[in-house]
Amino acid sequence: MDTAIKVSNLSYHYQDGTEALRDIFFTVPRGKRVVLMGHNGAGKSTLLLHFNGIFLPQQGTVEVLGIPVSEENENRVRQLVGIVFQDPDDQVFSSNVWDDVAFGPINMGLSKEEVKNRVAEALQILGIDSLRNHAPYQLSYGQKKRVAIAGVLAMAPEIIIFDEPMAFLDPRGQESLLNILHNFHRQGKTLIVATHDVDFAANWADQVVILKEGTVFADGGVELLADAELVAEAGLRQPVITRLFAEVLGKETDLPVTFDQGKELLKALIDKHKSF
Amino acid sequence: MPCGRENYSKKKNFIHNLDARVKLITCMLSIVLLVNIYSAKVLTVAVAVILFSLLAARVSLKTIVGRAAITLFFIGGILLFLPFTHGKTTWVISLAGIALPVSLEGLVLAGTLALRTLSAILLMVFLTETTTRAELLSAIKQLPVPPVFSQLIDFTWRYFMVIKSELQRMQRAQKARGYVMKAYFNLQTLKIVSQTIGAMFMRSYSRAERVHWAMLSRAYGARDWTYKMHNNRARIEDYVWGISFLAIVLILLMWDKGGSQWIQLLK
Repeated sequence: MDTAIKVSNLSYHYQDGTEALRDIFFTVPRGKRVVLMGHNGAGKSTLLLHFNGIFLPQQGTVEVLGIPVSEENENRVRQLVGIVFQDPDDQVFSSNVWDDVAFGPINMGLSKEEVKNRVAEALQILGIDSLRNHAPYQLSYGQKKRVAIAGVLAMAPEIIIFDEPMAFLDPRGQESLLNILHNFHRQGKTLIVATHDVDFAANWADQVVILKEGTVFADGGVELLADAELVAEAGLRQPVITRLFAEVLGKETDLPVTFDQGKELLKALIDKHKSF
Repeated sequence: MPCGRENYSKKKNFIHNLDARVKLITCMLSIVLLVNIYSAKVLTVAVAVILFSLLAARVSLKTIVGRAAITLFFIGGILLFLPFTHGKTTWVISLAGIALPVSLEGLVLAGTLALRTLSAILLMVFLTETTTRAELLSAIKQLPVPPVFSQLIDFTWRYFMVIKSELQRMQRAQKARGYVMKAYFNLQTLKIVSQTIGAMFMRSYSRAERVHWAMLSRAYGARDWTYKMHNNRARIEDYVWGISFLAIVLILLMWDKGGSQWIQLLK
């Protein structure tokens, strides 16, 4: 099975009649890092909630590892797909860290021993074992974020979704989160991140899906983000590296998108300059 | 961190270290027994015993008085009216030209009620000041209490803190834009306060929706949410303390019900 998530012709209307998603088609290959981008209200969060069966398709289909997301399968799907919500205060609701991380495994019906093992492992991986007896209000924002991720990780999902993971984190917290994402990717997990952060997207993702007004506006590699016209139309902006080289070189095509591409181009330019 | 004031958690002693389940059951049973005592004299002794336990647990007198006063304030109205509304008139006092009939029976009843309430409140202060919130919640979860009850307590406390910090942020934002509450009762204040309350309700509603989604996303509803994961055994000294405390309360109850006469009758 090479496909993690397959969305076909998905549409969704809210109860007040607002059209949130319209004829969405796209595929997420297994083990890939996918970034979901778009302006506020583009439908990112609504789409993410479909992957976990919290919202069920009103039209079209969503398949998770070949299993259609439906009322009958929602619990199975929730064990395969974990969501880390934007605000950890929404997610970390138990009276202490241990109980919160154990919440998902208990709901999965695992044995006591297995729950204990999974919680211990998740706390260890996220480096928050010393916080196991702390109440959520005693934690910093970054620590709460780690607890939220540990709670999802303890369910051992194949696919992990992050909604604006970098929001409100300080640079150290962002760096630490990047490491966590990197480790998950190395373990072969499929990662989907909804974000506005184009620089993060450019440097991290394998695939970029841009939503606009509830539909897929563009789907491809990170080079999409170098297209000034496309990103402007989608309500986004180019990565800083791309903008910098566009300004310096005075051109709009063949621009670097990632930090490494920028570094290579800069080196090449310096070498060229030295040889003259 | 104790459920009540936080300052005493560092002053851990024998009473703080008692098993929370034993403390909870002992305090609850004691309250049930104490509210069946009618003699003011016996109730005074009961209050003294609990006060002694509180002081032995190193809970400061200031904390005890503060927390008891807040709760007693709410039943103060009933207690205040009883001498004037209950029983036969014993005295008539004149207040600003108005003759008020006062009954001794009403006075005694008010005093007894006050002592009963005080003993129950002091027992709750004892429980919450010597037990951390986590210990108490864990104790409730380990006892045969319906899960919905423990979840309700859990969520109330957890989101009380979140809503409190949201309210503080809103107040800070108001102050940052120059808002100063000049008087409690004017149109401007009422408008701001009602808007703040309205915004809090709306935020709480959307927060509740998001929390529910977060719970669903971690398979909530697939089975009973139970936390009976930590099952520490109570120690001998926990049981000894619980039985001894209940024995004292039982002796007081027997004294109230004429226990001394039963002993004389047995002789």
